[in-house]
Amino acid sequence: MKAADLIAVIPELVLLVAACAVLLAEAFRKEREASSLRGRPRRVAVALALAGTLGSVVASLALVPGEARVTFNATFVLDEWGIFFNVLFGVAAALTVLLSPRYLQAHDRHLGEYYALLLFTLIGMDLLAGARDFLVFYVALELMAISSYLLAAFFRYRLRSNESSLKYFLTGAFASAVLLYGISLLYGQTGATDYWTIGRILGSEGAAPAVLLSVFLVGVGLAFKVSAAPFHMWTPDVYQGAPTPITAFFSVGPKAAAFSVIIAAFIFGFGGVAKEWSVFFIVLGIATMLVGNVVALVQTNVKRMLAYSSIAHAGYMLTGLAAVGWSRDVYPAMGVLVYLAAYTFMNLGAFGVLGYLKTEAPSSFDYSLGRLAGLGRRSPWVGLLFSLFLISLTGIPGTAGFIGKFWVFSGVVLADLWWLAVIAVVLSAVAAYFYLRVIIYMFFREPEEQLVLDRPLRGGAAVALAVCAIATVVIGVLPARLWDAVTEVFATFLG
Amino acid sequence: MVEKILFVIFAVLTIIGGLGTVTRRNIVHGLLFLVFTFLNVAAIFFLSQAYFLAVVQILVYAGAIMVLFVFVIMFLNLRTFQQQEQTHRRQRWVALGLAVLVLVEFVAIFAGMTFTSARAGFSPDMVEQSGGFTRVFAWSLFERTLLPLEVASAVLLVAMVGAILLVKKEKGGDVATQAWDPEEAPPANVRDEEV
Repeated sequence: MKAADLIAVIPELVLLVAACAVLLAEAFRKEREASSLRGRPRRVAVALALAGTLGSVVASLALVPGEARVTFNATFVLDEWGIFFNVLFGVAAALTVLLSPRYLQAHDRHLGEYYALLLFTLIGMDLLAGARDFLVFYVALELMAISSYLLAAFFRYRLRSNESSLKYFLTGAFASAVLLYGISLLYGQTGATDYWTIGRILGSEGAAPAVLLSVFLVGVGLAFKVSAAPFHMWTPDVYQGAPTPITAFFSVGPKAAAFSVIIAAFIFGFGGVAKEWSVFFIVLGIATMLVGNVVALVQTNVKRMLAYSSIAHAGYMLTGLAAVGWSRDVYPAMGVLVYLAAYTFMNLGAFGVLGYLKTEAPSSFDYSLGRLAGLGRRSPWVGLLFSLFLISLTGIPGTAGFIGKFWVFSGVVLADLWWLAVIAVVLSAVAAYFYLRVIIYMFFREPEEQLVLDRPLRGGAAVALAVCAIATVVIGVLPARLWDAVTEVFATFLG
Repeated sequence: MVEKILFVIFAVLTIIGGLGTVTRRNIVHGLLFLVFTFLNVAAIFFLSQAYFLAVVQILVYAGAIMVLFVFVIMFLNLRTFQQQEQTHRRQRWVALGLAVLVLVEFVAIFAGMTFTSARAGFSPDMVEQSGGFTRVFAWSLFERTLLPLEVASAVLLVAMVGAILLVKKEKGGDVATQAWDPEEAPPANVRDEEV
């Protein structure tokens, strides 16, 4: 290691300092307010977490390099690719922090460790995006995963949170084991753990059965993380039982991080068997879109419905990945990055609105569709915001969701997989039913019992939702800037 | 030849130990099987001339960590797991069938295969020339894989914070955290509602 290597991990170091500061601030807080079940929001922790996440975003942007920083013996690279994801993850985490304090207060759970764990998850995600070595990748994945299990269990006195965390932990550990098995087989065949060397050696071997099996195992392990069908079973239960701001974060952050490593590892490491893993992702993608969209149709719990919808969105992005392998071209991957950016804001926003409603009506709001009836007329702003996010998730032109779908599907078509794009478009038309149904309930149904909200939307949650809404509209109307950024990312990505 | 025979013996013993660990109902017996597994893994390391790793395996895993496990089990007084009603009886047979299928697949693919890492990685001569196993090991750990090593420390910190978060007794948190029989109604203070 050279001292200069540390420059590349400055964003992660900023987060690490912030996380440790949060932990220490918690340890030294006054005894009389030490109860976690009563008291005030942890202002210090919130401020430190915000400072940490935004600091990492600023540090990443300040590090925009002329050339890629290949560090730690080529196991970790900070280039435009890493910076794109650092900024995306940092913003998502900052928005989650803004959504959280009132929610935690409404549920009588005040612990600063919440923010520390969120920061640790973020460190893992940033490292995942920059990893170019399976060891860094695996350890970063575990950092992200273990922090996530704990965040899911944050309401430890609630049955649902316990169920959520345990399911997440067991399936996650199983996925990690499968992934590790794949990595160890790769090491056995190549004697290396970094993507490039593995790619070089496997490239010369072609599609030997042993190579395919190891790539398959790594793919299955990662499919768990992006909740692709048939490895999606945990998703609805985990999303339902986790604190809602954390659910919002799970649905965008760790999922996007898993996509970032899939793209990097499969392009660099498994380029030799691109056609084969492309078929794997086509099958996964079709299954995921089907399961996500069809099961979401029958959900009456809106939180679960959004969980299935996030499964479906992973399916759309998987078709983009399949197109990358099929055409051996990174163009569809650019679409996936645009989709990830768009999806981050609209999905955070949608879950954020649910989190706000739960905050202001903690005992009466149970996420059921009926409970949302009449909301649009009582609280028009909240209704409009939620409608905007749902319309964007549907993929209607003028919103971010359309731009994401447009670039991914056009990449799929250009890769000569037009039939796959047709399936995806048809299924996203099916999705319109369950998204628009929520809007109809909010604006055109008479409620059986009015949902009484304690306070209007304001404070941190208002800022977070406003940012999400603005980003959703801006990406939808003026996508050129985002597309340019993604083009720049891929100009240096392949080196 | 002798090495090969020894390897097979220790590998079989490792598998037996692993099976014993997951099948024993008495948790102390399970732990002893786990120690047995660790010792056999150490023996395999020893056979592959990774002496340092073998010693670390015995000292850290079979020694320190297992002692901790036993302590925790004694503190919590967990002697046996209660016999739980299997909820998905048919799944067990499907799982067994699939497991056999996967095993056959792995054997079919990897039987007779030479792993390149054995050729491309470190040979005993190379290790000899660069100053012995421990030196090569230290170089790999603290130079080549320094970043994952440091990240692992963050993972341990998170695990520690998490353990405290999950089990610490909280002031005002007088809610029952002990288990209850699934067939009875949960204690009144356990809340089953959406979060």
